[in-house]
Amino acid sequence: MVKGSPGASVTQADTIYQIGVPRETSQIPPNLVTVYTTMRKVVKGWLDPRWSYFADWSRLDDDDPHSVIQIRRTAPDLADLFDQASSLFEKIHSLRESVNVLIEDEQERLVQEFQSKFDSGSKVKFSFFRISSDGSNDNTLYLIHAWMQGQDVRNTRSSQQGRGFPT
Amino acid sequence: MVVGHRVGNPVTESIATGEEAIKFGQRVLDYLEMQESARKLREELKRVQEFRKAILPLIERELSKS
Repeated sequence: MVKGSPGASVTQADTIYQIGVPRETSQIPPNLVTVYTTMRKVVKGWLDPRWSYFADWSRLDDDDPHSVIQIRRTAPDLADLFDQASSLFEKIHSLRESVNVLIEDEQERLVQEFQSKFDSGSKVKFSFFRISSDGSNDNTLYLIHAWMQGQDVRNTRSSQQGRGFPT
Repeated sequence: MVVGHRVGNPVTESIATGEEAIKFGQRVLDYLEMQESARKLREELKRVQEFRKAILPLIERELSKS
């Protein structure tokens, strides 16, 4: 008997010592390590709602269905959450499109207040709205982002100044 | 910036800068407060954070098996 070998036992007097009893551990295949590493990075990025997305799960299903099948079999709870998150982001994408239209329409409505600056009776058309936290084009504040972050314009501008958000 | 007409010619002009621009943007956000789809967007974004909290430990669990 080899001391320390899997399942080996050594009898000393009345005491039986169990040495190196093998424990069942299910290992994940290397391809899933890559998949999970990518997913981990994407999910961590959801902390910032402005840039959140989750096309990776459906893309994986298209490009590498074998991995998706493996995940569904080995981690069904996680696969279920990926499914739900994927649906949620589709809904968010659709809502975001709707809110962008609302923003554009409201801007168009508001600029009509400035019609008096132009020819009487002529039509005024909204062109664009831009607030930059530092005067450059690099830190432009987008109203959709302010809304998604649950902040007002002033606070969003301040936080961009403080944190140097990329846009 | 808006596009209007002066003496019949189209001109693009800034109508608000600085504080006025901030107020303009804020009025748009105030309008969104009253819109159901805008409020719904915020609610759904909160759910993203719940998913994040639930998913990350499960990914870590799977990676720990490697």
